Amino acid sequence: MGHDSHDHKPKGFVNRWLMTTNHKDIGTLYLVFAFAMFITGGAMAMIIRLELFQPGLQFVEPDFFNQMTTMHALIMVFGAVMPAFVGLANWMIPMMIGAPDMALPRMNNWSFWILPFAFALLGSTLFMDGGAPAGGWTMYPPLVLQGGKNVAYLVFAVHLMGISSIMGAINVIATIMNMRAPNVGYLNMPLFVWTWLITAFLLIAVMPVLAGAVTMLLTDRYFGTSFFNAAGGGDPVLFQHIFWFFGHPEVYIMILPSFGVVSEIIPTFARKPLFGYVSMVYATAGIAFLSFIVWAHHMFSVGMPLGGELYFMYATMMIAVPTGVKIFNWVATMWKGAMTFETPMLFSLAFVVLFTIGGFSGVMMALAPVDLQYHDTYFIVAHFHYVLVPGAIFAIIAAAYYWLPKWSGHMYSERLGKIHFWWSTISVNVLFFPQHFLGLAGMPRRIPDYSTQFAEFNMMSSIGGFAFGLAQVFFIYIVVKTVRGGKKAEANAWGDAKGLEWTVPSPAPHHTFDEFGPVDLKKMAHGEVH
Amino acid sequence: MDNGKQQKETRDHWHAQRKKARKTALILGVLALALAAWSVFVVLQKAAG
Ligand code: HEM
Ligand SMILES: [Cu+2]
Repeated sequence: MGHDSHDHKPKGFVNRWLMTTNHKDIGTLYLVFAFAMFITGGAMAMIIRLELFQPGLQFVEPDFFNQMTTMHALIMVFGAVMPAFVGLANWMIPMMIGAPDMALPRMNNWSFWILPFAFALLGSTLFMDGGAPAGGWTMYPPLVLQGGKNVAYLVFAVHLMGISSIMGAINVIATIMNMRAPNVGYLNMPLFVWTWLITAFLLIAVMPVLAGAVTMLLTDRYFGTSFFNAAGGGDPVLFQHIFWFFGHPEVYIMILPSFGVVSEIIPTFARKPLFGYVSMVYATAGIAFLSFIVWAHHMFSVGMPLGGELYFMYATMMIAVPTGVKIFNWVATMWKGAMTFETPMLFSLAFVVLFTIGGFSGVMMALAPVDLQYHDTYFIVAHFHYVLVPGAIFAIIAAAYYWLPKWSGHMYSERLGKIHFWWSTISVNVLFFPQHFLGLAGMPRRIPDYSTQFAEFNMMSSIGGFAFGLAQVFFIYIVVKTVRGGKKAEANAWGDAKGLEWTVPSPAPHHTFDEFGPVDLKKMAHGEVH
Repeated sequence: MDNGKQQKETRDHWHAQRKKARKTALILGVLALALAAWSVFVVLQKAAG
């Protein structure tokens, strides 16, 4: 190396952050943004659980309550979970495949900086006449069109989020296809990279469909079209088909990168290579394919023909097969391993167990005849919160603990991490498990008040909710403390973790893998296995 | 190998790869636009029929 060119970070806030094209800085921006949205969406969840603490209307107006459920979901899905995974992709994918940066660094900057504008647009609706969207994150017409003046803001915000994620996805694919170190083949790539590659294709396939759907909402509302207006010859159920053609792949967009994270962490702390690497790749691709052909399991009660009900029922049940392959592979990875239980491993183990509970309730709802009972009740609220909170969110938290030493150069406090883990894991179950019983007993979702027979389980759920919320404030404290100081992290923070990211110093220098050349495949998790 | 030459090779390599990457991106971008148009088209067809 000619001169010491390595840590040239641009000076000043504008140059360092606003103008950045560096994958690590953009990754940090995404992660910080996602965290801010997680706290914002979380605050809305606290309002929801506060109102539901007891039967009767205590704190908020019913319409404001509906705005909270709608905004909570939109912010968590598009503002927290998805950007957090894009942040992880930015930080880790180039380092995992031996690339100096993402393939299209300037587009990368643009992808990120669109997001604050999208959410400012969406958030501004809270302050306008008639308030924020209140028809649910699924935006079903005609309800969504009957609210205040927010429709155009909602639609343009979704457009911006869509543009951001499509550009992010294109960048991920272009990077993985073109920027791997010369001796890194597709089947040498870590599973996190694989799951993201497949996720990126899902994003490109479905985000434009969502954009098309909301554009038609816009023209129905403001330009007199009748795409979804029955009075004008349109069909509101058609919106549901289009929405869920996007929506079901979308839920896998939020879970496949989680699978990738967990597939990195479990081998490290079981001290064994991932069991069934190639089958993991195929299972991921299988899930992605199936995710396109099951969408109407969200619509069993709209009055589809019997053949449709049966088809979507069986197709949906098939997803359990590749998902099961993954679960068994993780368990087999741990089998007879020299396991230790650091915080990232604990969150990953909780992921495996609790995500599976969500998978089970999913298979229950896949049965068309019984779903007529579960549909639009708290049972489905319990289902998707299990797969998304101790599922996707736990995977993101696990990733943060796992790679924080690489990002910050410091080890977090293992004691505080464990407190955070147990606090979160106990409270998340107190929060969501009772919702299964509420749903089975018939409590509908998206209501601010309920009949008194549901009081006990709701109170329990709210207490779990407040405790879980507080635990995440504690997480902020742990992260900030770690970034500002603490025990210095080794290059290989976990001793003998596999993966190219552990071959560069901690904290990772501003530029890594600048010099083009083959990498040491033995250092990669799957370099020797295939 | 002398340093200057190696640096140039590295630069040229990533330069070429980035150029290919722009092509990949362009194809995917066109695909995305086509899908958006297609979703509207499907609805229009349904509305017409
Ligand atoms: C074994 C896998 C799964 C099966 C069989 C399954 C099945 C289902 C079914 C049938 C519904 C519709 C219930 C109803 O509305 O009556 C549903 C809803 C939902 N699922 Fe799953 N699911 C699975 C995994 C997942 C995963 C991995 C996620 C996300 C990470 C997820 C997220 C959701 C969400 C968000 C909803 C509710 C959407 C809404 O109406 O707001 N599911 N699931
Ligand atoms: Cu689904």
